Amino acid sequence: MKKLIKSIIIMAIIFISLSLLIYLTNNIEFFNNIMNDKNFNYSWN
Amino acid sequence: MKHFLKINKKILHIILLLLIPVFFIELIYGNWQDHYNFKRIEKLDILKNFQVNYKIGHLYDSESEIIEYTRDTWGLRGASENIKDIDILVIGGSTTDQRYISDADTYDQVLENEFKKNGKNIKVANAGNSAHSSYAFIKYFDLWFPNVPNLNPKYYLFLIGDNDFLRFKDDMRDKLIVNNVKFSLKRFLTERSILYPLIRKIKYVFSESKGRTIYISGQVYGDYSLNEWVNKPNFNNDEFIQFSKKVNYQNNLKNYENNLTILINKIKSLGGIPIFVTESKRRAYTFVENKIYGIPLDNSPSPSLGNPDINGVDYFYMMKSLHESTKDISDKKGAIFIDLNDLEFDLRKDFWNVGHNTPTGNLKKGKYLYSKLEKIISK
Repeated sequence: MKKLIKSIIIMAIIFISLSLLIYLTNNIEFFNNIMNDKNFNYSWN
Repeated sequence: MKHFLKINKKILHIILLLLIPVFFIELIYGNWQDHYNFKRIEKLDILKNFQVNYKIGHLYDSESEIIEYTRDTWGLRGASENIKDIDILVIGGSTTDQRYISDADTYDQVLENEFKKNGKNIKVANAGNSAHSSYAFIKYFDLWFPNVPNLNPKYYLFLIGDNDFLRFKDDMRDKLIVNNVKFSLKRFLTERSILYPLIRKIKYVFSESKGRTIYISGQVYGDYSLNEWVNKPNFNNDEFIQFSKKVNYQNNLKNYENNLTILINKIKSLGGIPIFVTESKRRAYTFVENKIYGIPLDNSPSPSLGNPDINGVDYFYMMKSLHESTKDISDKKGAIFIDLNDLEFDLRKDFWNVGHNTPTGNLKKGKYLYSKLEKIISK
């Protein structure tokens, strides 16, 4: 039982991390610039 | 043996731990639910979820030698994240597809930027496909656009004419519908997957300088020289009549007019407004002191005007009658008509071959379209 819960937690972490990565790279300009143009010089102003 | 089985079980466990969340991510965020829409669009063999880099240094001068060409999940170029925000959808052949022009320098992007500069938030997306004509555009309204969720632009702008010129009966380009699309597992997965583009992007970020595969444009720069230009058509009247019969010109013109009427009716039934913009191989002719000059006959295996019997002056007169048809139909059926012939180009700098613009040409084209549309287009 303990092993199953541990597995579910790991899977949930992977799921959330990937979802976050997809969201960030598609919707946040800073990450978008890095992913599309290798441009790390984003101005936050 | 027991020890070996234990290790195998552990590896299996780890694989499952990775695969199960990946499966759910794909199921939730991937485009799998759009399978049937995709299937219908596939009949037109339109590129979707597609990104490629071309080396274009030999075609025109540009700050960067490499350009990026992107089409989104639904096969559109330059579309905003929200498909429902698209106000103008531009449709056309290769001059709208703009294969060797970067996403930021297309004429439709220039048009959108001009609206933005002047305080209007008008979104423009591009549905251009090389070699497609009015026959294909009609099919878009049955097989492509209705299958793109939330696509409902108010304006449909066609850059139209050249691919409808000198068509022969049963032109292969009209037989667009591919009934037996060869199944490709790679294409099936990559077009629908959400993680594939992410992996591709991560691979690009961590790769050595230019990680993406860069293709060299197979196109060649079309030399520009006014030296051998002519100021008379190749045909006299009788020869023109004979030529017209040979290429079925009058009949093609009638079919073209009919296609325009179908397009207008389809757009109006969707509550949209059609805009027709004339398209010609604009570097094939020019005016010097109000006199027409055109490129000479071209007997190469694939002549730049599509036919070895016509020169730039013949081409101008024939295109003129095609564009007059476009104007007539637009006036009669209530579409907006814009004649790009009124726009002055620098024929040397604004084209990389007889019909395709460089970014400087696109800048003029986009600004010209804005000047014609600024008072007409509203949200």
